[in-house]
Amino acid sequence: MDTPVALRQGTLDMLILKALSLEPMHGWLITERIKQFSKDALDVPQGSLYPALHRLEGRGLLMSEWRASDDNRRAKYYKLTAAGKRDLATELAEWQRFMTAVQLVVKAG
Amino acid sequence: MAAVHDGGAIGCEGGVDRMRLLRAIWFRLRAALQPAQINAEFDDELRYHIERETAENIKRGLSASEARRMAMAQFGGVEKFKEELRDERAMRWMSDISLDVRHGFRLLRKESLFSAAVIGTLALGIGATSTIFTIVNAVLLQSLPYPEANRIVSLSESRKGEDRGRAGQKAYRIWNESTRSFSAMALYGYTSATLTGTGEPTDINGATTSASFFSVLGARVAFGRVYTAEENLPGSAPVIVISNGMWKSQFGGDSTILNRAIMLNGTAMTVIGVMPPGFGTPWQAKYWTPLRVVETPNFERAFDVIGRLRSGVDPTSAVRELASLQPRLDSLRSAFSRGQQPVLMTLHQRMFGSVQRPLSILLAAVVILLLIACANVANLTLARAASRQREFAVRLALGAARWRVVRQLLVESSLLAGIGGLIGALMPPVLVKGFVLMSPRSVAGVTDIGVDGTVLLFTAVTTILVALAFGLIPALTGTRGTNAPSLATSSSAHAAHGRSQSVLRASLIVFEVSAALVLLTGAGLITKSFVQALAVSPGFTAQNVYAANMALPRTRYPKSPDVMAFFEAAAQRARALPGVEAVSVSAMKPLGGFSMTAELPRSPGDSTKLNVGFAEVDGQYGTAARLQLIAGRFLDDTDVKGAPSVAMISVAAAHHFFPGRDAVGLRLPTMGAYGDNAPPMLVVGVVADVAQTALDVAPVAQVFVSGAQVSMRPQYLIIRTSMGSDVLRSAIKRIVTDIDAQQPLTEFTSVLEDVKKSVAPRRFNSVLINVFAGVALLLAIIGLYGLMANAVASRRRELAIRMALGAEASRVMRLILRQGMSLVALGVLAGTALSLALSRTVSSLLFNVPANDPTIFVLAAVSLIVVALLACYIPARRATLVSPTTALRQE
Repeated sequence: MDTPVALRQGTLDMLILKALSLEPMHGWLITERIKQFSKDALDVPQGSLYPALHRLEGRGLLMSEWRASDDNRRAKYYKLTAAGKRDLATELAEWQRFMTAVQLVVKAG
Repeated sequence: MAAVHDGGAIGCEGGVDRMRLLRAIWFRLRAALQPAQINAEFDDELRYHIERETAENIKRGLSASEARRMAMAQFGGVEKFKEELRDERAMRWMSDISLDVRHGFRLLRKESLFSAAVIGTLALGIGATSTIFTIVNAVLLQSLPYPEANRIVSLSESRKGEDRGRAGQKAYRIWNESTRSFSAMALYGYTSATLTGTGEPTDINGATTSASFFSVLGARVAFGRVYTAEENLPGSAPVIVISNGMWKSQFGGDSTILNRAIMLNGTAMTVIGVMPPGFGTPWQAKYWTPLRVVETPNFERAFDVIGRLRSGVDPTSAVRELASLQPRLDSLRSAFSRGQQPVLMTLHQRMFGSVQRPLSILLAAVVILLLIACANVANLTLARAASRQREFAVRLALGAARWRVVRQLLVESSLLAGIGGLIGALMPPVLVKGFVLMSPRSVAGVTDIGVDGTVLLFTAVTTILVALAFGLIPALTGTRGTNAPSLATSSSAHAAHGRSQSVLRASLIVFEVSAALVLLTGAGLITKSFVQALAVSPGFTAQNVYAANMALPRTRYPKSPDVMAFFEAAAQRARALPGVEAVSVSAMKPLGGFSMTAELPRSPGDSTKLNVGFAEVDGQYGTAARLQLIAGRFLDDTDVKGAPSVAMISVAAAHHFFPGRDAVGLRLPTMGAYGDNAPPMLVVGVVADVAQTALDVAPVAQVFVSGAQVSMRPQYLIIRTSMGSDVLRSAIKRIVTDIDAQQPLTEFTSVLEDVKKSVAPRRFNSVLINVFAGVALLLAIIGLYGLMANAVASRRRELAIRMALGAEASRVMRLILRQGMSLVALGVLAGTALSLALSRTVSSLLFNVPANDPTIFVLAAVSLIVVALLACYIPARRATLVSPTTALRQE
């Protein structure tokens, strides 16, 4: 396993929103999904994950509820709000433009 | 261009955003309201994560304890993490605020001088503002306590735009009978009486009204009944309706009061009703008795008239209807009282219209005072922020967020504003009482001014605005930009950072000085007006003159000779009193208006008309009132019935009727005032113009006629004596009772007091505005002194070096003085310009003083400059006493 890539706060927020756009999840599952999708390249430190979740909830992009988890226990599930969906779309578009721009620079010469 | 995405601010798109905002608010609200539950949820959430991770680790083949240790390690300490979460959850915000508050209190105690200055300034500003606002609110903004009070109107008749607020009884009868615009109409007059039989005899203000008075106001009795139209007829049994206040204070709220007889002016009157609290506003009347109006062909009394407009009738159409009745009214009147115009205004306007301007000006003055107070507080806070620059720099350098420091400053200023506001809010109840006690009756039409919710709200809003205003400036400027220089150096740091701040502080001082000058100038103008009014010669000598009024009822004294006999007897006995110099019998008293007024042409048919007042007096009036004789002689005891018909006229009247000629020996044109067949009067004397209502009201041309020749119904004994007021009063009372045991001494006044009372509103305004101006000057000077002291303190090092290098003390002093006085000069210039621009707004309050009176403008500026010099001199002198070694060592 390679050394995990360091994540900027903004990027982490986008990844969390992206993961939650698939289905509502609890915190642990979010780290698992991100790890899974990135083929173990991205490992979200729990110390950043929960503050990020609460910050996003505080900004009204997520909402949370307690319900039975996949292992049949009570866990706190997060899901996107309408504002969260819109924010994710904007962020993804921004990200795409950013990547394209960086690609152009990297490939030049 | 791609930006680094850190979506922070809340967006801008309709419903989604509103939802989002609501969620964000709820999130924080919950954190604040249910901290324990939130905490438990954190624990649960984290426990789930750790247990899930542990379970996964076990699945991967780790031992149970190893699996748990690994899971825990990933968090790097659960407690630290929880701390972060809590911060995210805005709970830290709450605990930090309480920390700030505690810190603020500690600072408050430590810097007690600064705190006292700020709190005192604010309390004064806010207290004064809310006091005046309380009064403005009660007098000008609140409607009268009657149903649909805006439909209650006052009706009067005016001549040549001169509205004396009353209407003749004939006008009232025609209006009442023939208009459709009013659902009810009533007439009333002011009265007062002595109540006896309930302990100490008490003088009580009341009103005599027609029965419809109560339905015009739309008020019901608390219990009992009001009087009927029949009880308004002459000869019916005397009944009285009393106010709630009188019922409580005089009769202890006794419910058996109904149908009991009470003694008023020695007459037994049956109490038939008690009114609810608040009824009687704004007249200050405590009782109401039926008004008995008898119409006599030659004499028309004037009354106050009120009416209630029918719903849907607007005032303009009501006036039109009144005006349409004018021809009919004129046909009933003699020539000289024809051609008057009906005037209609709301009762509120009638009662309070005259105080609107003075009160608004007081309110404006007090708002300026509040602004000065705010500027002063901002200045003090800025000065302190400057001296705390290093503390901020250290805190910012140690990693404190800027908003965190700003917030602490805001908390501190809110604390000061809160305490200042609280003290300020306690002031209005006390100050308002003082205001009402001190103010002349014309202002305090409202006696029970309570501090109500509106006023408290006003105070609260003022406080919050002040807190934000003076908290924000230093909070923002004090923490701006790079702070390295503040740490690196000390005194030079002030220079580096302080430029923008010192400009701000200097402009605040310039503002304070100019605003204080505006108030000083206004106070000067208003005070000079008062002095000018006092200096007006009333045309008589008020000192040692007293007026005793006996209102003889027509029931017992139906004819003029009956009344004359009573007064002659009383006068004769009064003349025998020791120390009495002269006694006159007359229909009016000095400064007591006229017997009647009329619009008179120069000669029959001439188009130049003048309002002329008539006074019926006996032969002693000129001596008793000590009128100033200009030519001829006073009316005297030879001018009896049957002798040639004579008159004594004022200079203005002489000028009107006989321009450029010696009036004595000439005959006044026949005026019809005393019947169209009365013989023309011969002018026997000319006296100086006489003030008739107040010192500051221009005298009306006056004709004194001999009462004996015109069937006068006298009302007054005018007594000139060296005797003391109380001794004379009881002597006269005894005389009156001796002649007629049933007759009370209706009123006894000192003419000198009347004269003083006539300028009481001016005195009151001038005292109040002088207090405001004084406080404003004090605040501005404190601000200036603070700035200068601060400037000297921060320049100690520089000054010390100058002194060490041989600068003379006088040079250093000039340096500091110049710095301060240049600000004062700017302020004086701005203030003078501002005063000139504003002076027109006070011109209606001025008397015999031009609004741009140069003496006052110069005097205000000079006195401000002198005081300012003193405020600059003290710090400047201290600067010259700096010992170079000490100053340099301190750094």
